[in-house]
Amino acid sequence: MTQFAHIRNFSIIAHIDHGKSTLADRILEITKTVDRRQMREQLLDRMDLERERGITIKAQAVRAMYHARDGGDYQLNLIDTPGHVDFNYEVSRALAACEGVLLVVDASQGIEAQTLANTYLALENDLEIIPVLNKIDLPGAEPDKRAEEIVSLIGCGYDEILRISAKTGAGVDEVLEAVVQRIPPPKGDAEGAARALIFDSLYDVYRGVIAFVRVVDGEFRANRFIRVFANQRESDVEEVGFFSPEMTKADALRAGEVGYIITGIKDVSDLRVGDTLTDAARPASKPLPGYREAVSMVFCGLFPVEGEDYPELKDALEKLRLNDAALYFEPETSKALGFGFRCGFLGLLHMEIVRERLEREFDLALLMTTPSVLYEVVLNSGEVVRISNPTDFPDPNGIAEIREPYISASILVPTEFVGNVMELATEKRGIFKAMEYLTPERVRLAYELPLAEIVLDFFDLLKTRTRGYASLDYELAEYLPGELVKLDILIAGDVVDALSLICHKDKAYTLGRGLVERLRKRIPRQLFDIAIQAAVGSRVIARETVKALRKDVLAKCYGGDISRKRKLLEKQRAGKKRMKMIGTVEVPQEAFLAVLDLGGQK
Amino acid sequence: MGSSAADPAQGRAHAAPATVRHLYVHLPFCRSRCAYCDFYAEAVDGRRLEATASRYVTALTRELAEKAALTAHGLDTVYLGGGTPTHLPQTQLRALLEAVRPLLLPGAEVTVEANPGTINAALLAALRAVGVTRVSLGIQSFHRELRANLGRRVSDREVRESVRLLRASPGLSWNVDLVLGIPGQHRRLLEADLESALTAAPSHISLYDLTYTPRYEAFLARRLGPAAAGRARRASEGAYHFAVDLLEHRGFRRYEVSNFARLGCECRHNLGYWRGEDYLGLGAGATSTVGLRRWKNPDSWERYLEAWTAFPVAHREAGVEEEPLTPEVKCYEAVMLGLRTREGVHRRLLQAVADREQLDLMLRRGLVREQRDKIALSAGGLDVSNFVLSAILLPPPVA
Repeated sequence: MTQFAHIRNFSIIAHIDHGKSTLADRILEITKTVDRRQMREQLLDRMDLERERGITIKAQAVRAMYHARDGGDYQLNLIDTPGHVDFNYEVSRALAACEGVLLVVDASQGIEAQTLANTYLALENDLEIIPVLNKIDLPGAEPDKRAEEIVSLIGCGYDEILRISAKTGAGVDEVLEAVVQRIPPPKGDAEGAARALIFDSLYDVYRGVIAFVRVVDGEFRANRFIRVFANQRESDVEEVGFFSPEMTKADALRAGEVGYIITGIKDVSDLRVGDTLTDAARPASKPLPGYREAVSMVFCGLFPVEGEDYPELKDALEKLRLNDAALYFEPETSKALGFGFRCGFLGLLHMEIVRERLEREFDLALLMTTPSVLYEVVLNSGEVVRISNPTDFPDPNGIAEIREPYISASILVPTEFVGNVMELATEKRGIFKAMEYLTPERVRLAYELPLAEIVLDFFDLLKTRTRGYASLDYELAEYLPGELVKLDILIAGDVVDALSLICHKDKAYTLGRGLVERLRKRIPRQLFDIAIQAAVGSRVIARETVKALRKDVLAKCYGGDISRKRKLLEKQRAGKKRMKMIGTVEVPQEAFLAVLDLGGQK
Repeated sequence: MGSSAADPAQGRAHAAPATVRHLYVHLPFCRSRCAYCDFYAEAVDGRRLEATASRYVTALTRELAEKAALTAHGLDTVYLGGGTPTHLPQTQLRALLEAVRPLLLPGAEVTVEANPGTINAALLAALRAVGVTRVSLGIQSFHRELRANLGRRVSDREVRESVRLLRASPGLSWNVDLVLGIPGQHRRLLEADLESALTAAPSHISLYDLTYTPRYEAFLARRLGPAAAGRARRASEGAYHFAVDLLEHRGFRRYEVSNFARLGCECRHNLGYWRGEDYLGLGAGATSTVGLRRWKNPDSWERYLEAWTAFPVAHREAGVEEEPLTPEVKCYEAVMLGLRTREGVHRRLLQAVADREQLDLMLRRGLVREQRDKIALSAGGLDVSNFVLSAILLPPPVA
């Protein structure tokens, strides 16, 4: 067991902007893992996108060597976790690889819903929690008040809470000491059959799938065969090592250690986060607990603006999936938009990120349809079909019941905004579950809400109505029957399949009204009147008209106007190219997103 | 020899030295600047004008002399635009026209733009004596309040007087400029404007749909409040058709998007542009197109004077913007311009730059019509010519 005594595996739990990345940077600096000169801000966040959004999409692990005050040298493995609710599953896997966590809380803002959820996750896993109040140097800091909040939330001792400023470095040494003193060393069977938990994976074009693992029992070495538990695939290990913070080759990864294994596997879908690796020659009998498939919660259609880009989009999605096993897609054909893909995502942020990466890294111009969720439709025959695309909804006469996914949401909010949040939750068809006072100033509200409402605009409205103070965490709860209808949009008499959506019966009118108004503003005038209608079944519930263009001239065109006029026409034509033809009507791309900003405009 | 854009020989290096048959001269001086006007012009008056005008005309004659090779085959049309050419002192204006006169071909059309309040009987007689055949009178509106909404300082008396003078000038063909879509120009007032123009009995009427430039919008917002501009723009749509129909009904044939004339009284200078013919432009802000060269003099009479009267010869091109053209661009422009006219363009020229599918669609919709070997926009097509052109023209390849 002595070989574990000098290893500490830990994670940092923090809300966005509460200072996780800065603290990680300081730790790497103090332990001299990185040279001050090569220190880049937010070293752990690799992708450009992560840097820009200030969030961590992929969990990563860095090894640092720390010379503690007790004279010992410790191997510290810092496992980075995503902070957003969409990536909750990745967080849970990262925590499963640790023995302790640093709970970092902004001393002026206090603990937020996702942080709390992740902390409870850590408590369930029996992890040691070291609470850290960060940003104590800022003028708005209220460390005493925040400390009390933490004490009441996680039941720790008041003096267990460290007070630091990751930015200036004040108190960070104490954090490292606490990691060494308070977090227990890993347990495991060093001599047993090898088992490692995959908490993340990465696809490298040259080296294939790289697994980030926590070795629990035994050891892993290069040139030995490994086996993936879930699908029994075997492969020859190319290399093992750890991040420091660059990839550093090692002769072996032993029980208790965290590092990477270049697996020799070429397809990420063969190696899922949460799965267990073992030695093919001497396999363990049981996998480590906790593996589950990633579940898509949000769906939308992605279509290339230019039909001929379809193969490129397909190629790009396949490449992205190599790095993102949670991304789901299958071909979809829309009458309005042509060939594209129906894609499934962990959540809205995940969807946003994928779309941005497709546009940025693959230079694709995309049309995205209204996000939807996965419905369960019970047919009169008793058969249950699962449908994520409004277009696929069967004839209403054949439907016995429609069930939609509900989430259980936990909302942390200052007491003064409780009324607003309750009002919003009611508007969004929420079912009240519980309310508890965390402190006299902060309340946790528990609701069950239809996921479809969250997908549309709930986040934005929650932010607006609580001046940004509320935070939200959720998980899929159950499917409940609802009075749902399919709302169709007709342009010049034709149903535009890509604009159809499922909504609650009582909201169809407001939604339809808003949509046709928005579309009227976004569809340019053409040579004839264009009717825009919203309909439920055959019943038209709202109608607008884009009046025909009757005059469109450049009045003067003489010797000095010709170049300008030519350029103007070329530009207008380029604008037309970005339109989609729906029948004889030219519809601009952004019209397809009309539904998304319905909420924001209220 | 006029060089047409459709002529592929244009691009060849060893073609005969290029010449033009059309001359434009820009005179950028005005009594005051009008808010709606988008041409290069400056308010210069009194002593300063006298001093400036004489140097300016000297500069113009030098530029003309220097570019004499381009006009060696004679000029079929000359157009003095502005600004307000008639704002120049009479002696200067005459001096300029005297310099141009030797270049005129028999029967040449010589137009001078004029504004009410800047002409008198003596001036008109003098102009006629030095070869001017046509006057374009910038009335814009007969209604004082509407002129004020254009930011135009011309009195009713000046308008009446200028009309009277032109009607009493036999031998001068003349045009009335009108603007449509002015804030406050209700149907009744528009009708009154059109009737006044028809009663004045010019041979040509230009009816310009008002362009809302940022400068003009800012003026309107100050004058009438921000909502007024949008309202006026929307209101003018129905009025446009009304005005076009009225003029055509009264014997003014719409031969270009914004231009109406009694038969045979079309402006040949402007038709030159629309037929894709080459032209030489003299003066500050003037553009020239000769073969595959287009250039534009700087929008500053000070810089123009420096270049042509102060600096050594080597600096004459200072501030001139060059735009190289390709045969494809010229072909595109020839179609773009030609489709502004009732006569249209040759089928083969259009086919070289048209999106076939869109062209067929526009033909089916009746926005484009075919007549023997020519293709032109229909009356309805002219009303939405931007829409039609941007749909059917394929952009030329980037040079």
